[in-house]
Amino acid sequence: MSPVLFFLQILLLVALGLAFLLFLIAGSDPVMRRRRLRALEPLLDRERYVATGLGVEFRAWVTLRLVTIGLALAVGFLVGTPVVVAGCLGLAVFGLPWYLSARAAQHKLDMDRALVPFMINVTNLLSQGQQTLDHALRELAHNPDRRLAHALEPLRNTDSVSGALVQVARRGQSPMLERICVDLLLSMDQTPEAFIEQAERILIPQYQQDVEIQSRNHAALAGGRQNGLIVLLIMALAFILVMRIDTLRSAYTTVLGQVMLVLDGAIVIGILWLLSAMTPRSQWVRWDVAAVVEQMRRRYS
Amino acid sequence: MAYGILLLLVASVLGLLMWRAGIFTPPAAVAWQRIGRHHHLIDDRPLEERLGERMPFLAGFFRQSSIPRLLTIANRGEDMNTWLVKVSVLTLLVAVLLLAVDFASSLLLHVLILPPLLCLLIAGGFAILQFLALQREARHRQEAVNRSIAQALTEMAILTYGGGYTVASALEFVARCQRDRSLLSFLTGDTWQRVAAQDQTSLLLTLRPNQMLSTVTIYERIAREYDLEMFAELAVNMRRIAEKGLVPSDVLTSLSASNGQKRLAEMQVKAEQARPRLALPIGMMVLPLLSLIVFPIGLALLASFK
Repeated sequence: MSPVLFFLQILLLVALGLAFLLFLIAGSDPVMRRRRLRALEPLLDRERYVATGLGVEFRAWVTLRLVTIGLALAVGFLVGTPVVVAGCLGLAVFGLPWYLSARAAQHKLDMDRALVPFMINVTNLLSQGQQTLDHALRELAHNPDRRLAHALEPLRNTDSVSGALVQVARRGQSPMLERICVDLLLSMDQTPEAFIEQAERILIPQYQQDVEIQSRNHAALAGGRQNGLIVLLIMALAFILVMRIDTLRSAYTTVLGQVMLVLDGAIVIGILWLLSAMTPRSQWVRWDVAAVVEQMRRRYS
Repeated sequence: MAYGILLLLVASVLGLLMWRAGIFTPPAAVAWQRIGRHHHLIDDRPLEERLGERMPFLAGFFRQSSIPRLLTIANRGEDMNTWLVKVSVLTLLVAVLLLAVDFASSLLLHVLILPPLLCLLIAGGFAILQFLALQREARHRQEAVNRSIAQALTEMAILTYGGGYTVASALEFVARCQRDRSLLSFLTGDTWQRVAAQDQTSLLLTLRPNQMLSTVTIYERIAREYDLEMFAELAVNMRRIAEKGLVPSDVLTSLSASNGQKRLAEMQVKAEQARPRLALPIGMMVLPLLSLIVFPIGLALLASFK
């Protein structure tokens, strides 16, 4: 046997052995396995966030995404250049949600701002009449602020306010709405007087502070997005200018030119990623409202 | 020249290892050490602990880069040996793959794309990357636990309002109701026991088989061991509740308000700090712009020279 082939076989065997060992070590750890499965969750959460921010059902949003990707592919293949196919696909996969997430974030912020008056109204209703928290919530849900109408819909016709609050949090997909639902659930078993005192002393000031943080966070993110848009516009302008001049365009019809275009695209995507990574943002705790209902049920059972 | 430096490096490492193994120590000193160890007359603590005592900045460094501690904070279900084996295997795999690429290129192109020594260095860099990833994971979990407590203080205040819950039970309640399970796994998992097993001196007493320690002391020790600021704040406030007879919900409410103010201030500072940094990616835009324009011109120039 040739020594070269022998060396190659040894390398292959060592690589296979190491890969097997790694599989054994990594595969035996249940925490790591669960972590790998959970890695998809933020992606889905993000899609749900944009969908609810735009006021469309998640299924409709997924359909829209698939149709856009299909269209982009069709346009790309019609033009026929591989770079155009990749560019169209990139625009459909990353560009569209990036652009629409700004509108979704604005809608969410508007909704969060409307939550403070909503809680003040709940407190006012409780302090004026002999109502329970359940009745006050149902009453307000029948005539809600238009920014909250979609999220509060489950409260309109329901027997169980706890169950409806779980649905409200699911529809709203906003950390602040989730928090309010949790606070309302925790306050359910208290007297109206106790709730009013808590709301005035603890909850409403807290929500006002949350809205303030959300607003600043939104302003920072909007600034980052604006910078990104400027980058994209300048690049698009330069691209159009280069493509309109025949002598410059001809260089990009070669394979090397196509590779250069892909590289430029990758650098632009990298700059956009860097901009987004450098923009300071505030992280929010996400609540599992159904788990709160479950904990409350356990407490009394 | 390069081989000379390499030889010097290998010799230094070997010399260091031999020194640590005690080969250069005179037999009389070795005998004294044996007797001294038997009678507890010599300091037999690990080297890093002794160095840390003499140089405090080193103590901090050793603490921050302790792999068992990082693994525990990151809640990795593996001990240090498993992690080391995994990293070694991955490093070797990278080295083998790079050498295979090198080998293939030498067969096909008759040149080595990368010198074999560089392949090994790149593989070594991969091990460092693994360590940095572990550090990052641990830091993220610390932040997640701090955030989980800081943003749940209002809910804890509601729970403790009527006296139905203590601060500790309210904390466990809110931990069960959050989507991120970092805090819950911290409170209910075997994190404390694992650290106690590694560090007999500082955390052994945190285990509660004999119920000797108060929750405040446990929280203080958690804060110290894991660098968790919010546990320290909770412990201080719980001590105030116990010693001065304050109302828990009032204390938690004011703590929540002050945390909110702190968060706002931090956001402002971060935004101000980010402003000059954001100029960097904007400036980097010159690269694709230049490349887009210069490439056709460069190609035309090359063609004209040919």
